[in-house]
Amino acid sequence: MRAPHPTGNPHPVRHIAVVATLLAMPAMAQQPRVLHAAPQNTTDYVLTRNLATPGPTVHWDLREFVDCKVPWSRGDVPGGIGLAAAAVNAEFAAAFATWAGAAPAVIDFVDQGVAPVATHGRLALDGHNVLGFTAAGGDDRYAPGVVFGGPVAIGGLVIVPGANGVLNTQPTGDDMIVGNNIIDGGNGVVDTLLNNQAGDDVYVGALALGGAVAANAQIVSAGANGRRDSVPGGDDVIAGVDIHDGGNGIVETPLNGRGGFDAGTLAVTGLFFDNVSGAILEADIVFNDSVAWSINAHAGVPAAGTNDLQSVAVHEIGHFLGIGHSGNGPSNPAGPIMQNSYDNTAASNHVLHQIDVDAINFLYTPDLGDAPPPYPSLVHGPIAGRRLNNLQLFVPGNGAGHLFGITSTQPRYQYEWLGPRIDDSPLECEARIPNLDNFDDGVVFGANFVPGGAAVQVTVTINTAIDLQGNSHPYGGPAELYLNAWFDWNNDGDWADPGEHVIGAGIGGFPVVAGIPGPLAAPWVRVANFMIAAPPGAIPGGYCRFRLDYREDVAQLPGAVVGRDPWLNLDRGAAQYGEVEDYPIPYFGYGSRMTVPDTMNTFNAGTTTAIWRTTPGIVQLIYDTSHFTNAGVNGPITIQRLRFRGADGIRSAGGQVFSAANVQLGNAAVDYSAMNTNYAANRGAMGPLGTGNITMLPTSGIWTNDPMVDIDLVAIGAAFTYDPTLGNDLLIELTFPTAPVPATGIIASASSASPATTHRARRNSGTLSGPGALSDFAAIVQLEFVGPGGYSAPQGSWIEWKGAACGGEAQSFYQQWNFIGDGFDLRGGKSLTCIPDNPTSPTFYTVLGGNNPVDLSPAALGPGPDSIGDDVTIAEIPGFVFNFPGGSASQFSCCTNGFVWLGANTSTDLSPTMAEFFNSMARVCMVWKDLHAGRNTTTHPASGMYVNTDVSGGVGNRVTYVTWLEVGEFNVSTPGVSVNTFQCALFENGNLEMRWGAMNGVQGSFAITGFSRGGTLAVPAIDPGGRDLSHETPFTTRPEGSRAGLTLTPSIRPALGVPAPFVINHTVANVPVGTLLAALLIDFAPQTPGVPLPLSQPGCLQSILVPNSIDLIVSPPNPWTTAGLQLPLGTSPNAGGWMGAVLYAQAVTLGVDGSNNPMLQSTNAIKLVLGLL
Amino acid sequence: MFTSAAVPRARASLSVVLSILLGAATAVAQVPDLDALIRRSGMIVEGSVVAVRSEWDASRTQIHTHVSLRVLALHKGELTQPKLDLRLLGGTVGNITMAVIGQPTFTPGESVLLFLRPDYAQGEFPIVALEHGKLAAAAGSDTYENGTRRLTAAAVAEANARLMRRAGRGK
Repeated sequence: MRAPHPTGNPHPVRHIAVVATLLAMPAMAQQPRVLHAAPQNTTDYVLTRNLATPGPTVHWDLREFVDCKVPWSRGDVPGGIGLAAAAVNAEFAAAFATWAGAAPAVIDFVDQGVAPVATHGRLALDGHNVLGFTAAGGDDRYAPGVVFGGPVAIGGLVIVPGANGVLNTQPTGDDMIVGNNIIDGGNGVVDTLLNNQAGDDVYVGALALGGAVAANAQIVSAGANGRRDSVPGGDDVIAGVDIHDGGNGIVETPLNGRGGFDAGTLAVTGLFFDNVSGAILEADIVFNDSVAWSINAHAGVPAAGTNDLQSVAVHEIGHFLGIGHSGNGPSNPAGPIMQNSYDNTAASNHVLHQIDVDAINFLYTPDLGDAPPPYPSLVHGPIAGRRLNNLQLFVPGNGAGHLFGITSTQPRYQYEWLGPRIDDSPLECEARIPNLDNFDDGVVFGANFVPGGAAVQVTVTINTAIDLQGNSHPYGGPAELYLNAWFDWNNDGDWADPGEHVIGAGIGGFPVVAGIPGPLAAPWVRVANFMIAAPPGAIPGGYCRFRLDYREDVAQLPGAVVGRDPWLNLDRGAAQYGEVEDYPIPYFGYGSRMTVPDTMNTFNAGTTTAIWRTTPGIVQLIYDTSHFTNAGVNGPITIQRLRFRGADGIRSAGGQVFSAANVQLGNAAVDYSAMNTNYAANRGAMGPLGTGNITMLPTSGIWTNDPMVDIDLVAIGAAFTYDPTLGNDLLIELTFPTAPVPATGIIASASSASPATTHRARRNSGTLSGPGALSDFAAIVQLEFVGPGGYSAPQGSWIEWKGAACGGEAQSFYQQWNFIGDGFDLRGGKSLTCIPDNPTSPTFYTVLGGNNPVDLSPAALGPGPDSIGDDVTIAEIPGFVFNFPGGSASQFSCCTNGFVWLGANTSTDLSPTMAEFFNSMARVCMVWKDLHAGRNTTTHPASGMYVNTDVSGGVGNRVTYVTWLEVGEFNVSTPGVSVNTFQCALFENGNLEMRWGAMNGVQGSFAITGFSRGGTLAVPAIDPGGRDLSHETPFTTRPEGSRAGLTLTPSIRPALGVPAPFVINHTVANVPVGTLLAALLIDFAPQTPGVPLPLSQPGCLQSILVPNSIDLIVSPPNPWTTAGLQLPLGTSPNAGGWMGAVLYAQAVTLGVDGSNNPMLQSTNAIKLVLGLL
Repeated sequence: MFTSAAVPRARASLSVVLSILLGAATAVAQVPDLDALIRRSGMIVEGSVVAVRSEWDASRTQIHTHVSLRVLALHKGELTQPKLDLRLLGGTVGNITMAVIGQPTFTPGESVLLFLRPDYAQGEFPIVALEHGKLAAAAGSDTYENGTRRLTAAAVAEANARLMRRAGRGK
């Protein structure tokens, strides 16, 4: 035995340790080349960072799982924990649903039923992912009748553990065992016969463990020395006769836990993974049944001494997904769920913090290629692989894929660097739908190719500067980014032929312009032009693939990329970071896609539920020939695919199946305007009839929305050759013999609305027996076809407002959300704090951006919820007067539609408009749109609107909290799909704080965020102009005056295809008196946040990067309208290659201030995305 | 892994007793404090990791890692020889890793301070509070640390002596 070191400072040890460490280093395994650390400070809570040996990110390889659904099973629930099995399983399912709901991550889960703990409940590689408790795992159990508590003697048998919680005996000097005849054999642990060994304890009799009822009941009695220990005062007592040994031979107490767990360990997750690829093979979670569990709502506080099961389950499932701990400290509703400890006296936490969402998005948001088979796009192979939880998995396919990179702090989306937009579709679980990735935006073809013709300029935009949040990524380094591109010139479905690797390998001698590959330099945006010519023998119809990767350079390691993905080679396989974009090669006179009606690429004029029905029936749609001829279809085309767009702005889960649906296209026998209610009367020469199951797709609710149905006409034998030049309109007929399953949750279809001249389409629908009913609400459908005309990548056009107008004399401020292209980015803990200049008589606010989380404490929430209704306003009398710039309020009227009236008002005002914002009562708009406080009560039981005034701080420190907890949107009818949490805190001292938590789903129609000092129809509040509230802070409002902010507004959406020249007029409004000079600036990139404009008053910002075009005017009128953007566009089908281009505009004025000093002012900026109507 | 020293409601009376005995908060346990670590330990050792070896079990369903330590100082508990063998669930064999979240990992040559459970020899989670019960010293340093705590061995010895005095008995 070695005595304790007298000083506890054994220095010689550490010298030895140093040597040992150095000697050990050469033996460490070399890491594969692909396993570079991610650039910058990528999440350190993804498990690769938490492992001793850095390696790949630990993750489920979703390519193995159908529909990205990872299976899990439930273990037996021991009766001893006091919770019903059904309740426990519901908590587990809810915990999985929490992670599955994170967007845009695509991972999902499937419950595979019960897997008995006895066979699958350990942390073991046994073919099952199981969530279970320790009890049936073979360890000790405490049967009823055992008492934990103060000294109790039953039948003269008293076992007393000491401070360490284990039943030790002498000579360790710790615990005392009292009773008859228990003798320690030397190891300090009270053993049972199962672990009895020579020299250890001896069991003779008298003390029965397990009693007579257990099969393994054993008799423990005194050994040779016959010594009996005494009872220390005040120690714990375990008394009883029913202690069952579970097999490990140790009698355990609550302190040392069971199942081998330490007493403070609530649950443990075990992961098996391939340490080369990082792919998880299996994961098990074991919960400690020796602690007390309870079921609570989110933010609810567990009963004393109990632990909230769902909080712990959500946390452990995070590990199950490959996510490590995000930090030290307890998890609570204000913080990450992946903190490393749990506080059962605090509020329960069932929701993900932004960095939790970042982590799952990092691991499970692939960017995939989408060229149709046989191109290497499918990531789910058809070959059966291993089984997990009795579920058949598949060997991963060879589709090209990349991961996003998302950091724990802004900016989050890092590596999708092709194109000006960094975004992705949550539908990219599988690249089975060509061009499903509507966000492909990195490549612009300057013209259409002609086989053997002149080279075409292909412009590739690589943009690390701007992400989804509008933030910069000043990342550089030698040869860190690589671009490769392949063109399938001979249209044989691959990119393997000579001359088809066009960019990256130098084949074909195409010049590399602007330094690609190579490091990016400031301003971190590179627009590279490649001159590419189609060879003389090129056959139209093929696709091209562009691939940008980080450090791996897939083209430089043909067949030699080590380990991580056996497919990774050139155009196929999964790389870690980067982006892949596939496009049909645009040939002159050869398009591939178009939308009918042709004016519906950006908006839906209406919506209808009569197409994708809940009952059996027939739907006929007729589209006028002009849609086709407008898109350049001047001859026969073969329509191969139909994509029905979901109603814009509506999220949906999809999954409904129309069984044995009939799909048939043909020539309409009548003009669309003369459609008949008799089905047969509308049918002309029809094409082949296709039959198959149609499964509704999930939609993300973006604007414009994703397809809700995708029908491969070729696959079901219904491809149809149509020639609009022959004069017949196109008829699409759908027959549903039976109702869909389930017949619920189907969202409306995006549709036209007006007949005749505008949309030129009609619908006839009804029962199978007919007749139908006519309607102008015809579906908006994207057609994919072979033949002349169309667009290589049709997309809508839109406008986004950025930056901040300046110069306004306004107390109000706001940001308007169009949700077309841009997303709601006030979320994840962002906050705005408005501090009045004078608490008793404020005239303006100083507005600070921050990260103050939503307060979900009982003091903030109160007993609520106060409303789980739709369109409800709750009056709150705070007991104090709230002074704000423009007035004061002694009542707050809190509306479920995301705003608070500063005064008494019963209006629920569900339709936001800027006019009402300024001419109605003063109000604080968190996100003013048509919300529904009770939409998610089934999935989020605590959800609703909470209104509470906390008076605990006493007079002067009272505060009213209005909290929208996990509320949904009215037009998202499926519970749990749109889940949003935000809070408005109105302090007695006049401070106003606006806080946003998880905003998972706010999409769709127009919304407003901001503060209005209020006004009337006659005298509305002054309009300061919009402001990017997530970036353009801090700022100050101004005392209310008479001048509105200097604003810039475009005349039209930048829709292409109109007669040349293409002109967008810009109007600068509220030009200051005495302005000498005005200029409209146009650029390809924004500057976010804007930088202060020199010689300007505070708040005037330059919000574009480097003007590429300047339109000047001396002594501008007010307003000044200029045709400042003219593009040399014709009416060619692909609009001269400008489809998808993004431009930014901002105007500045130069005048003099009151002291005759020169002064600049600036407008808000505008983002123009060029596309179709 | 989620750790907590919070106690079960059904055993509230035990929690009261323990709260008195342990002299520390029983309800909130982001990370066990030093006194709690010491109390829950059957043995506290300083040592040097001599060898780390992982292997599948006989059924090839679990990986265990065997850690051999040369014990250089003992601050609590007893040992008959200045060496110690630990068996922990988890480890890497070939290309397969079994990661047990929270379970500490060891590197040959590493200088460690370990808080071992009284039953450390029997189970597969021998460290008190998993990763919180293992601290390592950088080369040339006499301070042990992990993500949540920095300690010297002297501080541990002093705390242990204080606890022993409070319990009214010494070793």
